[in-house]
Amino acid sequence: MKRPCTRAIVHGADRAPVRRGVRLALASILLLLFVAALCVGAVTLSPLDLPALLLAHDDAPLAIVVAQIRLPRALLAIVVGASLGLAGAALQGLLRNPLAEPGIIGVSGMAALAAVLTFYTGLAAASVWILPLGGMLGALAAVAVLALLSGRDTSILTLILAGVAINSLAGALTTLVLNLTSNPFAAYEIFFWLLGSLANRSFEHLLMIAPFTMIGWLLLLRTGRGLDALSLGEDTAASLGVDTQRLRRRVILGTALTVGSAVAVSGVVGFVGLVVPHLLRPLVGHRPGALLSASMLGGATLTLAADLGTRVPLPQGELKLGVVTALIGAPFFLHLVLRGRAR
Amino acid sequence: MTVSGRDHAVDETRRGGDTRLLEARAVRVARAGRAVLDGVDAVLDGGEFLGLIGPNGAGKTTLLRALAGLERAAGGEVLYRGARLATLPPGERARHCGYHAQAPELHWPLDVASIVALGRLPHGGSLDRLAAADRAAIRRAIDRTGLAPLAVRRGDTLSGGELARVHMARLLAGEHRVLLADEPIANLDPRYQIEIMNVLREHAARGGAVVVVLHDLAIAARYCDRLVLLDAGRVRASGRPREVLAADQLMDAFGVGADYLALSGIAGALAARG
Repeated sequence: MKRPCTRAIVHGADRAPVRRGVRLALASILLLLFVAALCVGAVTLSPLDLPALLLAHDDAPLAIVVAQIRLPRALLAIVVGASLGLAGAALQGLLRNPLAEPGIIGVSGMAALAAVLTFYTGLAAASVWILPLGGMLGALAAVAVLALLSGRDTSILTLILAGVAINSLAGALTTLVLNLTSNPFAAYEIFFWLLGSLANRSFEHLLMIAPFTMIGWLLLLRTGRGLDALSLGEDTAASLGVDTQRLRRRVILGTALTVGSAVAVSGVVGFVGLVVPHLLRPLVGHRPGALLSASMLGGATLTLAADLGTRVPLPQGELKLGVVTALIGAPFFLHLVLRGRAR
Repeated sequence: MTVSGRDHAVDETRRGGDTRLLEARAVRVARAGRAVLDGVDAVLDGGEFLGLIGPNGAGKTTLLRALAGLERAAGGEVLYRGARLATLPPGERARHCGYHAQAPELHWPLDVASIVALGRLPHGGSLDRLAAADRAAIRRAIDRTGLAPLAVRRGDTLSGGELARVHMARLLAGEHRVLLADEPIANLDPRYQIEIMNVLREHAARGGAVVVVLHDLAIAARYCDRLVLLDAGRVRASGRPREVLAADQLMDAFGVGADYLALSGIAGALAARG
């Protein structure tokens, strides 16, 4: 039974170089997309013109387009995408279920409902913080219900079904609230909240969610060790010194903060938290802890790319961001479900 | 003497086979109003290899979990070297006592070396930061369980028996003083049953201590210094294998007669021990 185990074998477990490579590659793609996001649109610019346009305190129309419209939109896509990717990876680690995704299991839907409620009851007018707070409370309610349901011995099926129920209810109520308002643009607004969009967002939106998002990111990024241990089940994780209750609370709160605030400014952008961790998981050796930061970068990359996709010129106007992510994500989801069934 | 968490390092120098490591005092655990453990006393000294036996539902797993600090006791207490286990910080408790679950779970297809590396979490490492001591311990555990050829394989490509050895290696990598293992040989072929029992035996011989839940009474007779026979949440018998595995006690607890002693190989195992 005793055979030499070389140093190299144990080092084989250490995929740090691979993980660094993944992060570097994602960061490079993200940077390229960021430049593209500033250049592409109704008026397409050369990247070489960007520095002058961004630095000039200039009222020239092009400078305004880049600095006031495209820049905040690109930054929001990065922030929202990072939150969705990170929260998806953390939820999947906590629930030990690759199908747990904020959009699919109703967390985003409840956040959108609560945000819509604050908006159309006029509460949001009282303070800029009300809208993101509403989103976070909605997300918290959904994720807490799901975490309760997915206690020790609940199956994957229960979780998904409960999520679907929460999601449909939230969608229906969101539509109802918007129908009941005297808002002449109700139909358009329904699209915005249910399908998600980053059109017409400004720096105020970014600032509005920044503090909550940052705290949420910090909370979630610190769950890596615990989520790794949870790969071996709750008992073994606890025997390894992980406070599983605290870990659970931290993921719930972190998800509520990040997803809730993201949805408050973007509406429901689905499937990012599903597709990204799924693609990156094999590259980080299937480790839930290593997946966190990688999914954050991956989520930002995918969302920024999808938002670029919405700018494909169509005679009827812009595509919705959530439509693009759903077009990519829904087939993925189906693929995962079918593969899970085959196993 | 009371051993608090803080002066553990000083106390560690007093290693020896006669140290009282774990002590369960009148431990009661209830589930849904029913007592699963009903006032169980047990002690574990350094160097000792203790077997927990008993029929299904006797409370063996619950007692082992209580000894690992994973069970909220409705009464009584578990002491680790005189300090209440429940009051120790989780990280410190985890360094002292390693736990091997009855049916170890693996929710993501991590590779073998990573699973084993998770055993180092109580020592402050994470899979991102493994110190030299961590790597050395992982290597020893992998070598000791014969897993070197499988070290880079994904967990979901292993057979049940291979996976059981991986979980054992994970337990060993933690370099705990006390090992608590719930049916660690349940899925193994005879060769690895013996190997794993030898590994645990070796741990006890080096001054650690082992509590192992066993269903195979012949193996229990062969390897354990002392057995605790649980039945319906109480200790029915405790002592040397020869005393505990008496025909009348087996009849009472398991409902099997004297022929079982010969049939199961218990008699032979007891005789072999002399």
